[in-house]
Amino acid sequence: MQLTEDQIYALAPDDASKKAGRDLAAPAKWVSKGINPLALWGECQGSGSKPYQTQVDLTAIAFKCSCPSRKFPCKHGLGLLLLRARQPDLFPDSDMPAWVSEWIGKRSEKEEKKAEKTEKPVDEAAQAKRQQSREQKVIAGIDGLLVWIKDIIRGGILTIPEKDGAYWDGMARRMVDAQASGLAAIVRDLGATNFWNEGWQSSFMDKLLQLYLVAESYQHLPIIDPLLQQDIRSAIGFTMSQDELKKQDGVNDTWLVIGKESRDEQQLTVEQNWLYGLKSKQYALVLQFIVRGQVGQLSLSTGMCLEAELSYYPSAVPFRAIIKNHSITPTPTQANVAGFTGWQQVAEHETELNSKLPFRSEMPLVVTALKPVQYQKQWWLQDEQGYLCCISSSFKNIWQLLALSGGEPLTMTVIGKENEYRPLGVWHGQNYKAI
Amino acid sequence: MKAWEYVINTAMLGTDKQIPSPADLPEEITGVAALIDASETADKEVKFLQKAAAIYNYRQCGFTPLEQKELPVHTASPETSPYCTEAASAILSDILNEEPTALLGLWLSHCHQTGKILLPDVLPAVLDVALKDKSLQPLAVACCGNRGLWLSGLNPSWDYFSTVSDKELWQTGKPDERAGALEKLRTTDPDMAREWLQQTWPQETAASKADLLKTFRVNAGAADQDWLESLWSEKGQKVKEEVVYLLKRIPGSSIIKLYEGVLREAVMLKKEKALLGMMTKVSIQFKLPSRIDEAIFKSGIEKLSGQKSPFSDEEFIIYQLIESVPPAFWEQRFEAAPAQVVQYFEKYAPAMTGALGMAVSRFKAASWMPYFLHLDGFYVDFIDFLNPPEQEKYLLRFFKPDPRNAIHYALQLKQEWSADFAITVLREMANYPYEYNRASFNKHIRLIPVTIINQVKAIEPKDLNLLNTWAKNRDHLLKLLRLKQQTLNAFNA
Repeated sequence: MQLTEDQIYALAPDDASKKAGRDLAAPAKWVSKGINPLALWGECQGSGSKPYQTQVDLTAIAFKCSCPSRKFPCKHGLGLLLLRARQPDLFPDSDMPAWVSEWIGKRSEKEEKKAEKTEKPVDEAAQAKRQQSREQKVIAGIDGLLVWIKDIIRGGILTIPEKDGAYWDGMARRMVDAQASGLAAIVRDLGATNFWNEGWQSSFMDKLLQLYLVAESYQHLPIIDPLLQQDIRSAIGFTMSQDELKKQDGVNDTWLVIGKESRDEQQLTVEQNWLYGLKSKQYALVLQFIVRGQVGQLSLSTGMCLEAELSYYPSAVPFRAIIKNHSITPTPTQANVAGFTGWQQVAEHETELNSKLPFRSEMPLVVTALKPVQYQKQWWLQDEQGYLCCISSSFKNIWQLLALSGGEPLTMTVIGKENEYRPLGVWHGQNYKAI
Repeated sequence: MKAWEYVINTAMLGTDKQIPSPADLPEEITGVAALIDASETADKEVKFLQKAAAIYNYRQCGFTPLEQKELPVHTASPETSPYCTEAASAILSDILNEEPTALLGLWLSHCHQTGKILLPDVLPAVLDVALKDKSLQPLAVACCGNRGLWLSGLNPSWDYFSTVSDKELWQTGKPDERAGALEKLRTTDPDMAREWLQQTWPQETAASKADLLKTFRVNAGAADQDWLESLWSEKGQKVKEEVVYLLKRIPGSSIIKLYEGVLREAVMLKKEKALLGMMTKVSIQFKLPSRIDEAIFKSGIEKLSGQKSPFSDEEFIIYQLIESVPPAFWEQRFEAAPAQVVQYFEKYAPAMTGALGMAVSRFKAASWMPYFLHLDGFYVDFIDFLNPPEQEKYLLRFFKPDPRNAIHYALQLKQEWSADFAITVLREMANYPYEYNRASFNKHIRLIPVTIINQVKAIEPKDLNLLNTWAKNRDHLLKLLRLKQQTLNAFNA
């Protein structure tokens, strides 16, 4: 499995690691190195007396290194992958040394054990009691939340920008106490509205109405479609057991990672991986929550391709999913990717999704033949039929997009809503590039 | 959408004021709104929130993309040169991450020499770096291909692709662009440059006159003399100063003739017979005439030597005059060849040899330079007139007595250093790790040959307290050298 340099850089935990990894992508730094279909390994002469033993599981992109770094992957792992990407001839196809075969062996044993793992018997009565208690707390919390929303509406949002952090934080804490972490997050997001932006009122009302829809619909849960019930529960903060999910039948496909973004939330790094099924034409969001200083289970980067089975969370619009098992495969050519053919098709698709789930999050879309154009001093993406949607002002790489396009249409992944989108990646030549 | 505007307006003021009436709503929502309004249990706020939620969903479902089929087609022309390899582009990305414009210049020059162009995704980064460093612009323009040209048309910051002729720049450009165009022409056709300036001279302001005259420092010569002499009557002080500066560098100008006149009277080479005529006693005597034209002092010759000066006032005036006349004057005056003249000065007027050396520098008298190379004085202007091995040999002489100055001039050499010279310079640099730091290596990496890569690790400062600081610089230098090596390999240079 050969990753491109962009894909390797996307695995780096921070810019300093990228830089350090780049410095280590020099043959002189490596005392020994080797590769086979399962693993890539090398010994890097560091500041210690013994060289660091660095190894990469190529079937699922996992790293191990004997260096003391708490970063993951460490600079040695990145440097080794970069060196392999740049100078593949330097890596002889050889048998794994003992320290590599031992680790690879342990990993496959672990996988097998995971599969065999039997569940502990669940005390269903206690579970039901806990569930009932939580639901009561949520209902009480939502009652308070609805009064709060009505107060805002009664007083008008004109003075909302004057509210200090405690105003939002107070309500978010009440939602956390009510065990409705999802609602707490929406309240915090509401408080994080950029009130200096022109037109903040519209984005504020969008979020407030989403909050209202979720809170209000929870009060009518029994009469709502069962799949939509799951969306409401999930938006409120009820979680679903991943083990339960894994028991369900998944979607087997070749999945292309069409985008990846990370954000820090308190003590967590939330990693969003957007996937696109090349055969099923389905989109999926795989979230990974990484506690500071700990290691994520998945190492995905934009442009990577997985042969995987995904289980979707139950939803009126299935989107969030977990990966049941996967292996990395070569990236396909653009010919395998069939996206939307224009903005009108996108509008129809979005309408259908919104009618099913009015408070959904943004989803990426692969759209063919879009070209960046300037119109009325703004950048737009024009489809082949001449329809335009504007490029979000938060998109910072317009010049790189233009450089790749040269004014010609490109197949690209965009994320956004209504008539404003932000490119996530483009097909250029035979490669898919994050942008 | 009007219904959404009503939602926002009502939300802004609060539900105690006006709320959207059903008449303002789209047809598809009026039914739902009527049901909400009919509710007897819901209060005003709930009714508003429910209707607003319906409108919100309606808005999201009803979005239509803007139709603009008539937008002009604007695409980049196809490339006529081949792209560089992915491997070369990866090295370029690494170089861009290190911020060394010198290495970028090297990469671009090799790319240009091999007739290749950049891969599109790095174009914005390269164009941005060239925007800040004008010296890279010609190479950036050459290596960015038609795609780069197309991008420059869209981004006004990258307008340096526009090819305005020097003549046009001279006629319509900003003051610094005009001076640039004139200076460029001075290097290739000084007479034409003079004609350009003569034509516009009456219309120029005093400030621009002084700035434009400065360009005449390039290739100032006898052909400029008459016109420059005619500028004595200019009113501007700065213009006058520049005219004097230029005339003092043109042999045969009135100022220099004046100086030569004084020196003819002030400096005498005396040859006397001694020891019953068996030997000739030679001496150089310095004595200013009793009356000196005050004009020489107005032209910049100082009268007083200063308290700490080793010269008397009279000697100091003569020293300045010797500095200011072409060395050829002494060939005639002493009736001797340059080698003999230098020998006379060294032997009979050693204190004045420096002034002669300065005159050689000032008048770029290349044929005189070899006679000064073995002397103590460090004549930096000579370096440009020597061939590369001679330059290094000359500089090496000053590494022991004056290492920092020697390094300073070594860093100004045009060509890559030889391996031995590079090791010597780096050994000295290691002793000043705060001065010659990472930024310094970024700037001067073009001078350091990759062949010394294995020897750099062994270089250490004399003071071991500086070792840690130097080690960081050295690691950075090694990284740059590896990038340089990779660049050369990528282009088979």
